[in-house]
Amino acid sequence: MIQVAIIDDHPVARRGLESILGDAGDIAVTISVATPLELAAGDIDGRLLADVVLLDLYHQSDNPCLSVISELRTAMKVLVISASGRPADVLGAIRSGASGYLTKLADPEMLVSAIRTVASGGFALSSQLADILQAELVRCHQPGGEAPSGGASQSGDRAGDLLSPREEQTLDLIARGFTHTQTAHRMGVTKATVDTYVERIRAKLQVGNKAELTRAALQRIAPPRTGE
Amino acid sequence: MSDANRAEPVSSAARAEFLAIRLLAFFRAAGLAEIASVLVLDWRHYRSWPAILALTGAVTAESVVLAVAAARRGGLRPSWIVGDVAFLVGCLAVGAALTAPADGQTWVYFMYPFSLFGCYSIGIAFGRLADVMTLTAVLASGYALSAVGIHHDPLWNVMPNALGYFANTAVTWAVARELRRGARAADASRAQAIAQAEDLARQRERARHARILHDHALQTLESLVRHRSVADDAMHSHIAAAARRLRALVEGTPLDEPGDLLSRLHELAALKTAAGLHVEFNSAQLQASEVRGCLPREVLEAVVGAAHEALTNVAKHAAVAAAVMRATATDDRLTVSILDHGIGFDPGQTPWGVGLEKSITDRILEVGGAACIESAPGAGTYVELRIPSAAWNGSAPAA
Repeated sequence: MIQVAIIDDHPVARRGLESILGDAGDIAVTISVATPLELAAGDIDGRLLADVVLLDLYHQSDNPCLSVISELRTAMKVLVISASGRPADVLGAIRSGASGYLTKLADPEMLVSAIRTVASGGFALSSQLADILQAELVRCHQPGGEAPSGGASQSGDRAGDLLSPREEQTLDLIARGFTHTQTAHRMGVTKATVDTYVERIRAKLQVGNKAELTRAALQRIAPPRTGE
Repeated sequence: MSDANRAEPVSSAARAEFLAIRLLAFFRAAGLAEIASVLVLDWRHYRSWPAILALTGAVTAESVVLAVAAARRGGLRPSWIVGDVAFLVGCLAVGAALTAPADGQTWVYFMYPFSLFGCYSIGIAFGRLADVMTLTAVLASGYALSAVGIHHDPLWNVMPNALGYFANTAVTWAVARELRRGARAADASRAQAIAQAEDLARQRERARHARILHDHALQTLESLVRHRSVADDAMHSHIAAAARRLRALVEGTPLDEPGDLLSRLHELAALKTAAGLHVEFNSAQLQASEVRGCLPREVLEAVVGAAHEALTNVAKHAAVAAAVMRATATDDRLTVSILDHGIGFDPGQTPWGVGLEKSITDRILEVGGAACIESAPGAGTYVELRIPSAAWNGSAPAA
């Protein structure tokens, strides 16, 4: 049984998530609260309440709760669900340690399968997430940006120098909707290799060229305030 | 009082003109004071007092009229200055006749110093140095003729005096030009600052509205869609479309631009989703690209039409309920792919497969692109449409 915690400040959304996960059979919602603080309060005897936390990215604020992600990930897997598909938010969430990202328009099957992937330690790289990550990486590394220019290829549509050409190709094929098996077939490698590429993409995003990318992402997430 | 304070802020340019008018009035007053002092100190040298006083009166009146007119209009009209120069030339001649020395005293010719003060207005009124110099030359030669011909001044005295006009007008012209240029720059930067402030205010207002829409209406609509709270299918897809539109608006990419590829493909995805095929549209890269809005009409229609064909084929033959459409745009090409995990077909064997191939590839070939359709029984169908950048950069479509 996969134990799931839900943090979402919208009660209707919470109810909906609970019922979808309840129908899955192998998933149990152990706690469902509006804020990360309430989750901490429910954790009385220090026991882990869940394997996976389903976290809404925005809580009554203009800024995504990226720091909450980096805190929660030390105790459990974090799957972010947000109505926002803003590329900077998505990249920010993954960089902060989320194991996956779903928009609120994702259908129930996708949600359930993402939770299964994340619970087993994987990276829930949906085609939508792959699409957004690739777009954002290309943007972060566009000419004029601060991309280190040591890469061999200058083909222009590579996701910067962060990913290797093969990882880049993996991301691209997944973004088009291919499964891992199909991606492996198209690339002429085994599915295990594709799984490795996907894991490497996650690892590179989370520990890679961090300062540069996080700064680029944060600048878009939180534009300088001009006083209120 | 408070009304006056609240009046439109005076522009720096207007203030510069006002300063120029005050300078004009000041120089004229100085010129008149000079005439008065000469008359008082040298009264013994003048023979015809009524005529001298009449000339002085006319000069005073002209100066007052000029200053008042300039103050009323907020600046000097070049035509006034042309008239002023003609007037001064005339007065120089009259003055020379009235003060022609009996004893070699040139200082009694008071019109020269007055006109020297008066000529400052030429430098203020004209923008082009050539105009300033031409009018100055008219004035200087008027003086020289009167001084030499009527007043019988020696040439060695008249020549440097005449050059004085040029020095005065050239310096005034240069100073006035700098003054106006500085004022214009100040006005421009202030206008820019105001525009920026207004823009910021608009953006903040927009962000506030977006937040309100997002936190209330949109969240609720999306929850309704996600949990299929509305049983009626038509109503459900209507709400889903409304939510998608509202989200696009809130995120700053409105979906009702007919010339925008992103809008059109979103529309297509919504249409197919409403008809029962769930289309996931991955468009993050296209969203950030400028290409989406600048495609020629025929390219746009070809791409949308071909994507429509591909999705229709999925709905009709693939026996699945979902498809993924993805669009990317790079510097060298636009790519739209449509993928399903349905039953697939053998492209060479299936009659409708042949038709599909034609209806998709022909459209794309016509606008200089290429399309490929990959399918095999049991392996789903993958359609890829590629348009090289030559098709929207204006050059002839590449083969």
